[in-house]
Amino acid sequence: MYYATLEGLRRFNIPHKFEFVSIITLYAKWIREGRIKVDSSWNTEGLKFTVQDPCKLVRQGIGDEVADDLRFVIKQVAGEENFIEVWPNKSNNYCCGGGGGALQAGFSENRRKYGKIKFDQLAATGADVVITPCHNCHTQVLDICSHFGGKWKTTHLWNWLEKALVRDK
Amino acid sequence: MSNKKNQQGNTGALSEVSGSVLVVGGGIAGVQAALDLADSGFYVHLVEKSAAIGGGMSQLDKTFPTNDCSACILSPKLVECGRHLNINLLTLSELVSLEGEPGSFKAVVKQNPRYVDPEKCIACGTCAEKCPKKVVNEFDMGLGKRKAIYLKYPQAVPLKYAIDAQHCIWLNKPGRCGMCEKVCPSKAINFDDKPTEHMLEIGSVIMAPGFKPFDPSRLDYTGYGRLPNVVTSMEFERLLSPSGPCMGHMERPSDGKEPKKIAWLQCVGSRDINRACHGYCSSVCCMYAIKQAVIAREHSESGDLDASIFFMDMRTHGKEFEEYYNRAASEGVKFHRARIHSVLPSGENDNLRVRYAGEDGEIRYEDFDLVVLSVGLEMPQQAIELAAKAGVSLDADKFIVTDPFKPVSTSRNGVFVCGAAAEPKDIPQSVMEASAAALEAGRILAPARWKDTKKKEYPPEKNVYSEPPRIGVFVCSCGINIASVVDVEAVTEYAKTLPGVVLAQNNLFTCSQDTIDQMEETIRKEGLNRVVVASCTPRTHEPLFQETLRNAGINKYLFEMANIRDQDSWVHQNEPEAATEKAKDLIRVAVAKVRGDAPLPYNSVKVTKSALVIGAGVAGMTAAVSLADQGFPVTLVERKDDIGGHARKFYRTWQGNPVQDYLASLVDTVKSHENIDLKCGVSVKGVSGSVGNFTTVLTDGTELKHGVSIIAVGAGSFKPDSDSRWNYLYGKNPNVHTLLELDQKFIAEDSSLSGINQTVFIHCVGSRVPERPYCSRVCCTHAIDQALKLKELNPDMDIFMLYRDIRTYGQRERLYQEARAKGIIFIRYDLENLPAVTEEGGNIKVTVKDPIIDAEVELNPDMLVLATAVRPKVDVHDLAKFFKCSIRADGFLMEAHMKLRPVDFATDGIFLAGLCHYPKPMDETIAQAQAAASRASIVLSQDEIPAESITAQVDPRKCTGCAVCTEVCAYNAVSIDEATEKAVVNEAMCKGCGACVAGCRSDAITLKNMGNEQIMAELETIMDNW
Repeated sequence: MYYATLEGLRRFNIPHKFEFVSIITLYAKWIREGRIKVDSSWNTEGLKFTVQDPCKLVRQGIGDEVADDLRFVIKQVAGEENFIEVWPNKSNNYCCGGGGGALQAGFSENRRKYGKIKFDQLAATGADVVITPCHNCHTQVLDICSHFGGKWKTTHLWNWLEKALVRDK
Repeated sequence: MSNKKNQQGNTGALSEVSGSVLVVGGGIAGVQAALDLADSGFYVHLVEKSAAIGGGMSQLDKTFPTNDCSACILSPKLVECGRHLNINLLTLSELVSLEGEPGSFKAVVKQNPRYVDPEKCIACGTCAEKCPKKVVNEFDMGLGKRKAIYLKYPQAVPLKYAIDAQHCIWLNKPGRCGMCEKVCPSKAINFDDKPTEHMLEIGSVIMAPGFKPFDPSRLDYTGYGRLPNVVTSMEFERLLSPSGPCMGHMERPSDGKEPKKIAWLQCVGSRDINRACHGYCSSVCCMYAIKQAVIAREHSESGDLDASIFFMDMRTHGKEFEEYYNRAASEGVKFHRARIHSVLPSGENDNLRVRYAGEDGEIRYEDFDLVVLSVGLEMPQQAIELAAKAGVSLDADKFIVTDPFKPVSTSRNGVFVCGAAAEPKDIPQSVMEASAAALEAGRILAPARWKDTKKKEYPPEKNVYSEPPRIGVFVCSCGINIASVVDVEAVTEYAKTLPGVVLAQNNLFTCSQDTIDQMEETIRKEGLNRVVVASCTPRTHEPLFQETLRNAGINKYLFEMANIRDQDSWVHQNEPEAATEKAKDLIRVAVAKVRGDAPLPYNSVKVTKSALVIGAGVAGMTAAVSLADQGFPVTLVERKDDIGGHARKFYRTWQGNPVQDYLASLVDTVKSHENIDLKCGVSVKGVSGSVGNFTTVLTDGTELKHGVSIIAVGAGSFKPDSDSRWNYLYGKNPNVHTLLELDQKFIAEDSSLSGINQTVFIHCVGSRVPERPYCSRVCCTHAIDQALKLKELNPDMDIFMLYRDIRTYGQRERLYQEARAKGIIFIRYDLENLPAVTEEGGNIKVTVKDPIIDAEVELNPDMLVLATAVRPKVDVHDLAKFFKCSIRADGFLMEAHMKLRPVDFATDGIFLAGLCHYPKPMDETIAQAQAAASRASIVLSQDEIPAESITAQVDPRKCTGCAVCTEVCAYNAVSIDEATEKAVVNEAMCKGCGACVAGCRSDAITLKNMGNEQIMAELETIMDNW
C-alpha cells in the first residue's frame, strides 16, 4: 500500500500535498527530539540485533535515510553495541524472497530456495533477533528461519521499543 | 560568414591582436601548453585554482607504461614553468568572465589571498611545524593530515606556503593564534592579504581544467565509505607514494598492516549507465590498475603480494600497453573477467569478501586484505562552471565539445581545450593535445609573436681570463634550516682562509631578493671573479645565482654551489659538530673546483626558419598547414604521386563525420598554400646538420635547408598471406574484406551491401598476436561503426562480432552500447580458440566457440570482414637512420619520452606525428600533427637557439682517431674529421653528457670545466683534512 501509492504518484507525476513518512522515521524523530525516551538497560543478556531492510521501504522507497533511522532506533532500544550489521545491507540489500505474492502463491519450495540466500546472510550475523519492519519480510524471514533451522527471533520493531520505553511516573 | 571573419582576421585587425594567451588549469596539460606558447613568443597567464601547479599527475606515484616516478618527470616542467620570464603564474585564482573576440579577449581573473608573501617565503616550513591546526589533506585524498598553513606537496611550484582561510584560527578569530606570524623568520605572513582582480588582455584562451576522480560513495555495492579497506585508485596512489601518508610503505587504512592480497575492481563509475550515470569508458583505468598491481608487488616486503584485477574488457590500447599487460600477467598478476557483484566484510580482521561469477558461470567468493576501486574520470563541478563562464559547450557527458577534425577547438572561436576535460585520456594524449592547443592558440596570434614577451638584458661580460682568482663565498643560514645545526659563523670564518677566497659572508637567506641585489653589488665592488654559494640544492637555486653573476657582468659558469642544507644540516641534525666540519669540507671542495672553472661561451645556433615535413597523409598535411599558416615556409615531401594517405580510404570518423569531404578541403589547402612547397614522387636520400640547420637531399637531387623536420610517414595495413594463421580466406573468397575495403564500398555507395543478410566481423586479425603483440587501437571502434552503418543500410541484417576485448575507449563506448541495443551479437574468442573459417561451394562458414553458452556456434555469413592490424612501414628504418631516430622492436618510431615528450625525438629539431608513432584514429592524428607543429614552431620562432655550454672538447694531440666516441655519442655530435683523422665535436649538437669522455681510450676528450685537473683538485682537497 505504502510503496504502491508512493510509486504511483512518482511514476505518473500526480500532484499531491502529503508527504510520505515511515513510522520508523517518526520513532527516530521522536527519540531524537526527546518526545519519547528509551533505555536499553533492559537488555541485560546482551541480545544481539540485526535487520532485514525491506526493498519496498529502502531501495525502492525512501532510500538509505530510513535504513539509517532504523539502525538508530535499534541501537537506542537495544544498546549501541548490540546491533550487528548484515551484509549486504540498506539499498544494496537482497530481497527476502517473500514479496510480490510469493508467500501467497504456492511454490513454497522455490520461495524457500530463494530465501536461503537471505537465511545465510542473516545467520552469518549470529544475531538473536532479526527486526523486519515489513509484514512480507516478517512472514518470509520467520518461515525460512524455522525451515532452515535458524536460532533467531523474528519480530517487528515496536515489540522492543515497547520494552525500552521509559514511562513517566 | 566564417569566411568573412577569417578575412578580417587576416587583414585589418592583425595589428590589433594581442600577443598574450590565457591558460586555465595548471595540470600537466596546462603547464605544457603554457611552456610551448611562452617558448614560441607569446606571453602566458597561467591560472590555477589551488596553491600550486602540478594537477592530478603530481599525486601519482608511478606512471605507466614506463614506471617512471611521476613527480620526478613532472617536476622539471613545473620548475621551468615557475621560473619562465614569459609565464605569469596566477595561483589560487579563477576565471570570472571572458569577453571579446579571438585576437582580443578581455578576461577577469580573481586571485584569492595566500596570506603568505611569496617574495619573502623561503619555504623553510617552520610555520607549518608550529601551526596548531590540523586539517584533512586533500592532496593525499583525505588519507593524511596537513596544517592550516601548508605546502600543497613537497615539490610544489611555487614553493611557497599558503594559509587555508577556511581552517586558520587567526583568520576565523583574529587575535587567537598567529603562531605562524610569530615564528616566520622572513616575516612573510600577511593576515591582511585581500583578494585581487586581474584584468587580462589576451588573444586566445586554452582550457585545461582537468578531471576529478569519480566518487564511489553512492555505489553501495562497493562498500566504499562503509568498509575501511575499500579505497579508490587515487587513494591507493597516495598509499604507494613516498610523499604520501605512509611514506610509500603501503599500509591499509583499518590497521596500518601491509596488505598481502589486493583486488582491483575495474569500471567503477565508468561504462555504467545504471547507477553511475557515466556511459563512457575512462580510458586510463585498465592501465593504471595493472601498473598499481605491478608496483604494489614491487613494494610488498615479502614480494609475494597476491594481486587480482576484476575487469570487463581489458583496454590496453596504447603504445606499449599490451606488452605491459602481458608482462604483468606472466609475472603473476591475476586477471578475472568479471564485474563484481558486491564487496562484503569477511568476518574478522577487516578483510573483504568479493562475490563474482567466474567465466564458467559459477559464483565464487574470494577474500582480500584490500580492495582498490578503479574509479573513472569525470568533469569536476568547477570545470562545468568554468566552461559556462568561458562560453564553451559541453556534451551529454559534461565534457567540453570538440570537433574530430579540430580536436582542440571548442564551440567558441579562439577558445581551445586540452586534456581530460574534453574526454578522459592519459598523460601522453593530454600532453599532445596541450601542444596542439598551444599551436592553435598561437596560430591566430602569429602576427603578434614576441609582441608581449619580455626579454632579459645582461650587462657586458668582464674578461677574467688573465686575473688571479678572486673568490667570494656566500654562506647561507637558510633561516634556521642550516644555522640551527651548522655553526655558520665558524664556517664563514673558515672559508676566508681558503686559497683564492677574498671575501666570505653569512646571510640569513641568500636567495631573498635583497640579498641577491646585495650579492650583485658585492661582486662588482670587490671585483670578484668566482663565486661559491653554500646553501641548498642546485636543482632549484643554481639558475637564480648564475643569473646574479650574469647581472654582475661575470660569466655564469664561474660559479659553484655547496649543498650544506639537504646533504648536511637536514641529514645530520643530531651531530652539529660533525655537520659543521662537513660544511667546511663541502665548501673547500667547491672552492677548489671553482678555482679551475673557466668562462664558457653561451653557445647558440642560427635557425633556418623553414620546415621539412615528410609524408603527405592527414598528419603531414595538418602539420604542414599548421606551420605554413604561421608564415613558416614548408617543404612537404610525399613518396607517392598523390597526397592524402590512408584517409583516402576512410568513410567516416567514429563521430559520424564524412572523411572524404574533409580530406578534399585539406588537400586543396595544401596545394594552394603560398607557404607550402609540395613535392610528390620523391623521398629523402640523405640528411646532415642538426637542429636549426638541417640539409636534406631528396631523391630528385634537390638540396633543402631547413630548421626542423616532422616525420609523418604513416603506417601500412596488415594483409594476411594465404598461409597465415590469420588468413580467414582473405584473398581467396571474394566476400572477405578488410575494414578499409568495406569503407571503400561505403564511399562508393555500393548498393549490394543492403542486400546482405548476415555479416561476421573478426577482430584482432594480426594484432595482439605473438608476432605483433601490440593492439592496433582503432579497429574495435572502426568495426563497430561499420556494423552500425550496415544496420543503417539494412536494419534486418544479422551481424556477429567475434572479438577478444572490445576496446571502444573514451566516448567511443557509446557506439558499443548502440551496437548491442541494435541487436549486434558479440562473441568472444581467445587465441586458444580461434574462429575457424571454411568455404563450401563459395559459401563462407565460420565456426566459433561462444563462451557464454559454452558451445560451438556455426555462422554462414554473406560477408566476412577482417579487422586487420595497423603495421609499421618497413622502410621507415632508412629515414630513422638519416635523422638518428630510434625505432622500437615492433617497428614504430620511438619518441623522446613516452609520457611527456610524445611528439619529440631524442634528437632535437625532429618531431613525429600520425601512424608512424602508433596506430591512432583521425582526431588523435590531427592533434598529434598540431602538437608536432607546435614543438617545431618553438624552434622556428627563434632567430637563434641556445646550445649547451659544457661541451666535450678533443685534444688532437692525444686523439688516435679510433672513433669509439662517434659510436657512443647518442646525439651524433662527434665525428672523425676526414682530413686530420681526429675526432671533432659539433658544439651545437653536444649535450655535455660525457659518454665520449668515459669512452675515450686515449684520454683525449674532456668536458669543459669538468676536466681531470678539476676533478683531481676536488678529490685531493677532500683528502686534505683526513
